[in-house]
Amino acid sequence: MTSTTTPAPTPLAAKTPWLTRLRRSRGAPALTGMGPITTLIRAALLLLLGIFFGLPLLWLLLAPTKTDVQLTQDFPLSIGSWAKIGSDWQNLLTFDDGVIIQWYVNSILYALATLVLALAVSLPAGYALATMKPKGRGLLLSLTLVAMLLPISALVLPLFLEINLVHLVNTPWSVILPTAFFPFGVFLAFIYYAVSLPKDLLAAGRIDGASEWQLFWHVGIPLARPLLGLLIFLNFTATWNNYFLPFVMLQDPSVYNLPVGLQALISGTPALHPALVGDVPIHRAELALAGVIIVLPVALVFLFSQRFVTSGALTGSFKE
Amino acid sequence: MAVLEARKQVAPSPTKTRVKTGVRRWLPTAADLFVLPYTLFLLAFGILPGVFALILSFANFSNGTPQYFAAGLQNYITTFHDFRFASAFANMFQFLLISVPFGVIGVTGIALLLHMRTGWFASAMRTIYFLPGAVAGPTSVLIFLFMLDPQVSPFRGLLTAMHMDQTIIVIQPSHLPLLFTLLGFFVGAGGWIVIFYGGLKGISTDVLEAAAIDGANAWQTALYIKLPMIRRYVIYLAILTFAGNIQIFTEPQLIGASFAYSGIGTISPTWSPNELGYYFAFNDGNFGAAAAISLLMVAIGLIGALAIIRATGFFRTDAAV
Amino acid sequence: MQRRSRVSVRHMAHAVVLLLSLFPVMMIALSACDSGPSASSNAPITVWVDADRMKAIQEYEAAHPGSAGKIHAVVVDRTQFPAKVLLENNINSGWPDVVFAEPDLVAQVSDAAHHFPLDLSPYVSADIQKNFAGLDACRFNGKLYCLRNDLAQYVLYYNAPLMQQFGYSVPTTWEQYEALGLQVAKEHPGYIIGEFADAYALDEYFWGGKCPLHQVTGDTLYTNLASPNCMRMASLLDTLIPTGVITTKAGYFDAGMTTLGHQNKILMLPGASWMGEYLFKGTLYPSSNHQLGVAAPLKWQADSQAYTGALGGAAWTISNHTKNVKLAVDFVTWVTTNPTYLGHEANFPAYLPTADIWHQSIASDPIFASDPYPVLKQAATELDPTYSYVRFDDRTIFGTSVVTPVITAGATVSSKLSAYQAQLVALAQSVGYQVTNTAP
Repeated sequence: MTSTTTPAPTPLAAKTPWLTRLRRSRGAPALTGMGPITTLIRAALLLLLGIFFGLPLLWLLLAPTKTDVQLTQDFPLSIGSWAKIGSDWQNLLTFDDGVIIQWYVNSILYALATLVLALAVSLPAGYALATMKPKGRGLLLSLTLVAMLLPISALVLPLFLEINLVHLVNTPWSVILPTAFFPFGVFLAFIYYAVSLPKDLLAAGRIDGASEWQLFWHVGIPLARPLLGLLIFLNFTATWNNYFLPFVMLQDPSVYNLPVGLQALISGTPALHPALVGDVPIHRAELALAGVIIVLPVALVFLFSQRFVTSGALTGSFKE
Repeated sequence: MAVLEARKQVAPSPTKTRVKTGVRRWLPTAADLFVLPYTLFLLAFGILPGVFALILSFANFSNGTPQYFAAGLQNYITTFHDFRFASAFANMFQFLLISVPFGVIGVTGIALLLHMRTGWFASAMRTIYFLPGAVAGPTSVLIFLFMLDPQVSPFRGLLTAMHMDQTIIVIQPSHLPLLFTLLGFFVGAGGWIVIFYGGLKGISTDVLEAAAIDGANAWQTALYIKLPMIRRYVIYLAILTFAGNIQIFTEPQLIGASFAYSGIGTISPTWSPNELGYYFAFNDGNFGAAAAISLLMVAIGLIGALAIIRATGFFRTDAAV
Repeated sequence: MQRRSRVSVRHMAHAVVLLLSLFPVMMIALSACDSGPSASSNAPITVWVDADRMKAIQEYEAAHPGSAGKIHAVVVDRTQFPAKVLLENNINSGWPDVVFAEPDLVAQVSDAAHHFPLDLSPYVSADIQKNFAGLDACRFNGKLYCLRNDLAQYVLYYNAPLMQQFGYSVPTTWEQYEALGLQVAKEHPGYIIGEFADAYALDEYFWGGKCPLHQVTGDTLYTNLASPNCMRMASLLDTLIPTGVITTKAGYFDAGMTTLGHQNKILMLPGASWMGEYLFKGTLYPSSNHQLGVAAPLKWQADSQAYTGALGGAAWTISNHTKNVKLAVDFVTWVTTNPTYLGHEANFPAYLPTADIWHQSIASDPIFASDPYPVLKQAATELDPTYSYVRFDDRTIFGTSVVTPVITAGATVSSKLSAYQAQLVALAQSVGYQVTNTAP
């Protein structure tokens, strides 16, 4: 980045409503500059990577169809019997009257509540930090960076004592509130707005008498579509997979989320501890099925949010 | 962090601020209200616990609960003199040395490769790359237990070709930094690839077409046109990868414990500094020593992140609009 | 308005000032937690179990209608039990009343920082105590901190038809085992008589070989891997491992062991009491062809008595914070002794009168060449009483410092014992033991 000359925002940008700009589709470049050999090498590389990322998942998908012995003795990608998936599911449900369903519901509720709260808190903050002059701005950003570096092993006892102080231990809030603190999101939003929101646009809006709130709502939010997509999937994935904090905060199976519940369920079975034997019908196939089920919502959120992310509007960031 | 600086410096100079000062001092502006909720969260769940951790690092936990300021610097001394301290840091630095370049180059390279031609193939691959990020906790452990066992792994052909026919050989101590790099990449790269891909799609087609007309081939375009344009995101990734990987915990902890349950003990439960901190806290009940080592990690992370920011001028042009 | 900027020292200073100003808030927060437990004979109790133990609570409630609704069962990952106790100590509330856990976890929660278990000596009659096997594992400094649920004593499994076919007799001493191993290597290469491919080899050979790994008296831990039993065992392993009869290719739970089983190559294998039903049956051996012989654990020729180790075996412990000692003790006593509950459980019950009833569940299992119960029961009483459960994990460091170099670098076991000893000592000291190499 040689001390860059930044092009002045084009007058066009100010005139054209942002929404139309954003929605204008950006097709693939017609000319790719790819010869046949390049095409081949590229496809081969991508496929190899596809194997690296995809093969373990394919294995996971097939694992519920197999018995424990089949899992270790058959070809790794063999298919057992599809009917076994049904019995695996029944086996998962036998545990404590299907409490796993409750965990699933809890997980969804916690993830959604955290997501909404985290976005509502982070987005305006990132926006204001980038485009306005809130008091203590530098301090806020410095502390945000520090907070991102704090390891959970240092924070967990303090957080636990704090949550206990307000009598929220073992409630959903003990998980939702601390995870709704999303410094990574604020930082991302801050950088995004700082580099991609034309200040002239806001200045023009202010002259026209728009309030800061209106500007945020009509300019800041619509411009943030790709950012939103990013934040949604980063936050959702993090919350959905969160184990440690819920493990510390939650004491009762009725409020467990899926990772904590599953860990408790399988920790006493031979699925991962071959030395623990018993009559609970939870083996590696059941665990794999649970894994597949856990992945589904995240996959959906991803497919949904990647439309935003790849809608090609991280534009401003690349004006150099 | 520097943008902020740039902005801060704006405030005192222009006269208009001076005029308003009297009012501003007492009334929160819209900007203040925008950041207020976040400030509260930051205080409650970032700063307050952080300060508390600092206090705990001087507390004595010999009976499991804190006696404040009773330890003085003892927790720091305990930590430095612990017989696991040196190996944990050595492991972490080896891991950083491999994982940061690997992660940054890998993600950037894959995103550029994907973007050479958009279409169903690229988007299908992108989705496959991302999906492992959705696999968590006990499930990822199950996957790794099987992937790393040459007798049952879908990758067993590859593993045996490299003369690794036993799990213990695959996960022997000297392999661990690379192994954790691959595991981290498997889980985390997809999300970043999507981010980068989104960024690449934002590059104006005019620029790319111009390059093509000038005779640039796909590799040249990727290297000389696209890469500089997403440079800032690459640095951002480098910073976060560094800051994140310094805290390496999940991979060695989960994998180590799970293999240990089947008797495969090659991964120490105190393999990384963060694990050592966790061990101090939750095995020994010494939350003070845990806080001490954590704060040390924060310091290293901060220094490293700032060094990258300085060296790359990450924020230098951000304020320019 | 382009600007070069850098991290401001001023902001850092602000941060520090802010952090310091939070001190008073913290102090208030800290002083706020205080409360004392009060006893009540009618209080409900919380019981932490694994998934398999849920039915124990249901059966107890069915057998004791008066207790219905008073037991709150919570399924937890019990390996995290010590961590949870530490957190609860810090908020002075939330402890479970009863926990299902292994004796090494009980050891962990009995130190000053955890300060968790209730001494059960006054509550469990001497009659009941003396009927337990393996109760030494629950005694810490003369206090009884748990009751054993089940035992996982090592015995010697062997393939009865193969032994007969080869004309071998089952060894009773480690010396015979070593000699037979060399014979097998010569006459029937490819067959195995043991494994050294996982960290359980520590229990299989060293605990089982009466090597003084760790014995705790008060706060003093005695360990001496340089003592004759340990050295003899190491040399036995170094003799047999190169011949392949003790395999380094497959641990108990590896796919490779299953493959060896399917090829009928497992001639002998020292293993825990539950392995007959839960590892050999259907996985290593066919389930119903009377192949599996069970012999007494091996001893040194010079010793008059056999001592054995264990792989697994759990216990129940009670919190000293419980508000209903009566119910907690009654439940734990019931769950560890009751024949209708334990009589059909998976593992060998530690309470021997109940084990005698449990006997029926395996007596006629067609996997066994003959009824294994007499051997199992005898072995249950031979668990080495000088082996103490400790507050640190001695097994993973055995894996890292002995098993891994043996497998990956071809090191000898003898050459690695001192490295293991050093790590064990450091670890023991780090959790507060005074370490000595002089036998108490």
